[in-house]
Amino acid sequence: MTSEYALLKRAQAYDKQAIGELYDQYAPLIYAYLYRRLRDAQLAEDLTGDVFVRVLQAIQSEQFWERSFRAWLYRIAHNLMVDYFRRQQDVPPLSLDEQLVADLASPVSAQAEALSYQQLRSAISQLTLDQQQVLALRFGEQLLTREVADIMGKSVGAIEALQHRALTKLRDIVHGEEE
Amino acid sequence: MKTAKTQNMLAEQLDSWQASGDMDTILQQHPDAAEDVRPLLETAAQLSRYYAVVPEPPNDLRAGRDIVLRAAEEKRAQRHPTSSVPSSRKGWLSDLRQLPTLLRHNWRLLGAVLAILLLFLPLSVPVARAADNSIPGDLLYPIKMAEEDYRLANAERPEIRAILALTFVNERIEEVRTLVRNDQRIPDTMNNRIYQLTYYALESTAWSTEAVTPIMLEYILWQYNTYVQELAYLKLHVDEKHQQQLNQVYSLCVNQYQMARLARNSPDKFRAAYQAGKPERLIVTERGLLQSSAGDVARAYVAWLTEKQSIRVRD
Repeated sequence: MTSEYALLKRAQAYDKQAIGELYDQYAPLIYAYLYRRLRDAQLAEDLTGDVFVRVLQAIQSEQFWERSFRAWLYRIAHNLMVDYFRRQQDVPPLSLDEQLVADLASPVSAQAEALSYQQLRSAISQLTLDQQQVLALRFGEQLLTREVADIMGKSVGAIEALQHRALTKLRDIVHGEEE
Repeated sequence: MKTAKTQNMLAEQLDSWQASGDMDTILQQHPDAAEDVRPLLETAAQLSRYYAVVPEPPNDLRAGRDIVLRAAEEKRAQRHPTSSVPSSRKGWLSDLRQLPTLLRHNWRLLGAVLAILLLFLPLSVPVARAADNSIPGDLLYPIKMAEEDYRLANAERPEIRAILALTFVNERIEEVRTLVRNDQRIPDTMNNRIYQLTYYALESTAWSTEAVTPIMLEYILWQYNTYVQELAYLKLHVDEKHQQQLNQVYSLCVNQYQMARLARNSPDKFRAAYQAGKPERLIVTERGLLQSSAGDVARAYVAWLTEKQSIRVRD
């Protein structure tokens, strides 16, 4: 019995300490994932809390998390985000990402890099949600293809194809804008 | 660059690049594909840099933590169903799951359990098979229910659990038919069980993948349409005493049909409502549809009845 499994079993009984430990361990991961998808720190933080509230609502059904609790969290986060987009009926505004500018070193190169990120962000928003998800999980979360397959409920082959299509389309969009 | 082989090669090169960070060496290993792969690897590298910048959460994730812990406290206080397994028979099953851990530390108990198993094992398979044909009120019926619960709790994927739950609803309808034929009373627990199984089917569907959810909802809708029609037909052919009992099961199935219809029409709202454990949200947001679906049930029923009994229905 792994220590995480034991922790999850305690969380099933709504043991506050166990739930707190799970939150401390995984909330930063989920926040980062949501931020990468939404580019809005406040919203990502709010939705991170919602992810764990949903965990509490469904943790009794062990089948949801017995294979991988982390994969389950990513699935919930993705579903919540999709629900959020549908409620909003539009994508987040594409303003210059101030945080990106602030985090980069030289003011001139920072501005250039931020503009290229802006272009990338705009290009990502033109991909399908599945394509966006596969890119965020592979290159944001740095997960392996089989882990992404587990999270998205698809085969490894399907993820490889999706990843290929997403990168090709992204490159075409960025390249097209540059020309 | 469109074949599965190329996609697979790209995936491998991306893995190698993520592990080593050395793009040129990786591309040199496949010089013939380098021209195609390089721009994609460069895009991936640009994406990695883009995704690497994540600001600190504005409130250090504290507010979310407080909300989650408060919710846990409330859940602990309520502490009614401890799992989605229908609650009526869940208790001893979950206790049973703790048995391997208990046995590991208690040799006397292990001996006793082995002795009991040796005594009853030769009987267990025939008993389980005999229980398959039991109906409410039979001695073996609780075994049938326990077996169903066990299969539901151990289904590998949400959609398989949903299909299993519907199969068991079908079994309940068959039992209703047998009870009526034998002039036996339909127990009050029948409604609870059908309701629990339906909730289980819908909840599992809500947790299946986005692509599978609409397909499963179509299937559930079709199943309930059939149940409603079968029960309506049965009602026509029983005495008043059984009619009253059947009315309850029939109304329940109509309600579940309506719920499935709402879900089918708004799969996203359905997923959100059931994943949040608040199915009533679906009803509140889709009240208009609920009213119209009742009419559809009636129309479907009349159409079916017309076909079944060759009754002429006036336009």
